[in-house]
Amino acid sequence: MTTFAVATRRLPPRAIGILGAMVAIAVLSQLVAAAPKPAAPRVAIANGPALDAGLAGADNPSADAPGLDRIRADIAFWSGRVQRQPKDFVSATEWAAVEIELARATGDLAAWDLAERATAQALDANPGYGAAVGYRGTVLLALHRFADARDMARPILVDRPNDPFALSTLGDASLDLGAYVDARAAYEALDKVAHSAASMVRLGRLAYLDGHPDEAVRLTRQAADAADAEGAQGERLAWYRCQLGALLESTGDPRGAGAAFSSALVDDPRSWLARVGLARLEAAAGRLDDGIGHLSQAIAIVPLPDTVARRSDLYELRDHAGDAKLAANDRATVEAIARLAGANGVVYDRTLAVYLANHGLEPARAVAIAEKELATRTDVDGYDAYAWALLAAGRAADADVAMTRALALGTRDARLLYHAGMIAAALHDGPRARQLLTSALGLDATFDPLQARRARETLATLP
Amino acid sequence: MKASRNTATTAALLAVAGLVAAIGAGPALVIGADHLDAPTVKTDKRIDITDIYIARRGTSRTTLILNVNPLTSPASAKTAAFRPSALYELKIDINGDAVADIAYRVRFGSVVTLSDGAVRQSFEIRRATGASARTNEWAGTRIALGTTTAAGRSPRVASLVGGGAAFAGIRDDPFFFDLVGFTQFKTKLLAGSTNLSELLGGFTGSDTFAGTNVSSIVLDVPNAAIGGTGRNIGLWATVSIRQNAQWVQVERMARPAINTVFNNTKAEKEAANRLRPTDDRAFDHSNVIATLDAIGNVLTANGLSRYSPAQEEGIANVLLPDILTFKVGNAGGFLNGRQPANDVIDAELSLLTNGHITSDGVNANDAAFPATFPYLAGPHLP
Repeated sequence: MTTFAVATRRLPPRAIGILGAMVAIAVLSQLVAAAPKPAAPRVAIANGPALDAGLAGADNPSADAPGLDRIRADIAFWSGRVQRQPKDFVSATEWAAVEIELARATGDLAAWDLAERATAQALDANPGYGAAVGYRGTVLLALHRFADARDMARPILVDRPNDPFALSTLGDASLDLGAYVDARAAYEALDKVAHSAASMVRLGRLAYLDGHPDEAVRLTRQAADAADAEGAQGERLAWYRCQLGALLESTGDPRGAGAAFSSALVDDPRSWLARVGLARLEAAAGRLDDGIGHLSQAIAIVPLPDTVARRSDLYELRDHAGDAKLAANDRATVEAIARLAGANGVVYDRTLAVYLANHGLEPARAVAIAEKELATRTDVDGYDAYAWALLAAGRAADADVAMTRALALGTRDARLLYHAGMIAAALHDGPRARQLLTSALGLDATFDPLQARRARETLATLP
Repeated sequence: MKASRNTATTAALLAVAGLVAAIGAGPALVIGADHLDAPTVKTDKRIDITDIYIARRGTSRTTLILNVNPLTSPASAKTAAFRPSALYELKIDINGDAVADIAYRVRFGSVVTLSDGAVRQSFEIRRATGASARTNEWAGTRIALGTTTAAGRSPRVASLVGGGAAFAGIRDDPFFFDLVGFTQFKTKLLAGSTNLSELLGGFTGSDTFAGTNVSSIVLDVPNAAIGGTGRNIGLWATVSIRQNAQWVQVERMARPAINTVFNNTKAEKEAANRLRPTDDRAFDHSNVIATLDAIGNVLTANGLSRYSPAQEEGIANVLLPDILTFKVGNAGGFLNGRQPANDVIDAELSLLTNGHITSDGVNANDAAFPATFPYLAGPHLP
């Protein structure tokens, strides 16, 4: 049987509260930084013996693995310059870039806020400054200010219709706002002016949403290869590999997915995305200890409520002595993280709604959160979360209406089909429920260990 | 001074080379199916040329410098590297036809991390002549193998076959310029302002690049290898990357500020980076005249003498094609070649404004230039 273990240290499973998680970020980052680096991939370049020797192993990504010390020193350097010269848009833009790096490496929402401030300062001093526009788009999307991101990109595209920064921002914002026609137009324009990993992965995402998973895999694989060829390193390159891994996993290729996630960890030993992906694969293969281990590492790097909730599920499934308490601790942590996020807690709203619905907790609150999100963000996953929350609240008929919207593009995704199947079952539409649940498990029999079990149990009860 | 330093909108292909943004959640990555924040759109600074230089070195040699990796902070100096898969070229025209006759080509090996976290790379230099020099390809005679100088180490110098020396590694950025002030000047100029005090009011007197580093390639070559002492030659630099099994030129630079000053739209800057010098007059002539006209309007409005149309035409023909001209062996600085210490911005401001604006208020680099090879100050470190 294939295993997905990687050569990094594992923390023992343990209860971890929000404060513990924050402390563990620092601890584990040190452990990870100290771990031996995997061998760099070898790249053969046929250009004569001397050069071959020198260039073999070119673009070794592990050489540029992010170091938090370096990031923090850079933040001090660039923000200090901005403080001395507030009109220094160059330094403000560099400041934003390293705040974004920090935010991505640690999940620190305060860093997103500072990055927002830095981009605002850069654009105030030099409106339309391309790099600052790009970073601001990223920040606004990260803070779930999708309409603001769209509204920033549009006027820039009037002046500079081929601006890749503005096109990607507009496309991303449109995607999250559920404006798929606009997203496609922006992505296709981006691909035309700058055919690249960035454009391909976006078109891959659209292909997936449109119900063409094979095309999505093809485009995403090309994107990952292109990112490598384009010189992406560290977290960036790992992100592409994780996208590919997730797609392969959801299209029935766990071996390919495992290779992609493991490769991501070579690129970026701090890749929490890769660890979550590996955890999914381990859990799907029944190796719950390993899955919990990967999740614990991911949580120590970036304590996201998604990941903590996932671990609580694995504790519940494993059901060893003490696991119930660990699961309860994790569930308390999910709420605590969302609460501590303060004004930026909105970024966790959808996660929280689905989490509550998954576990039958506070159904009215889950519906309210999902409904609020839908007011500004009418994408596939928004309707899905709303439908799932409505079902949890016992409003199956309303859930069916929302789910129809979620499936309107024809997306072939196990989780969506599972939700639709459970809604059909609640509406006593046995044949439809059977068809949907069978399809969901056929696409990815272990899309979520706990929910997949529920799907199988429900199937068994259908007439 | 390159476009990206001034506008941060680097060439489309340059952007493609490093454009590693991506979209939200992969469908199976998050149980809540929520937004997953993607990497930021970013250009690849490793292939972003900041400046090039050419200067007399004694009676028999000439120094050529190509810098990339703008705005490398002290904390990032240790890990700054050249892009292994890129082709860095210094092109030389020795007969005045704006076509390369000689090319010095440099490629770098994989990044090796030393015990203190600093990095180094092997490099190889090839020299091509004739038709081969005109293209972007990894061809030519090997003239050096070397290793980059890691941050905090003494310069490592490689010998060139046929005489001369080579260096590559992180250095203090020798460029000095009030980019913040100039950007405000240009923004107001393009907005139609003719108020000189308003136009000049944004200059800060601070060198935007003080305290930052670049990755430098420095060659000392025999004069005889570039046409011989006394010959008028032209220099420009390119960077190419592999795309679809071909080398594609994504960067070009010669005189400081040409792309910055005269190409106002991103599309123009992108296109200029992909052209060859022989294309420049057709591509850029009207932009040069338009810019000189705009500045002329400011001068007129302030009772100052402006260039005549014939003079503007003459300046356009001097500035285009965009080649850094140099009389081999001549000790005079910019516009004859470019020495690191030359205040090129003052010279260009004066040229563009018919001698009425003579300085951006920043007159020297923040670090002294050493007299010994590679002639650039060591990097700023934490």
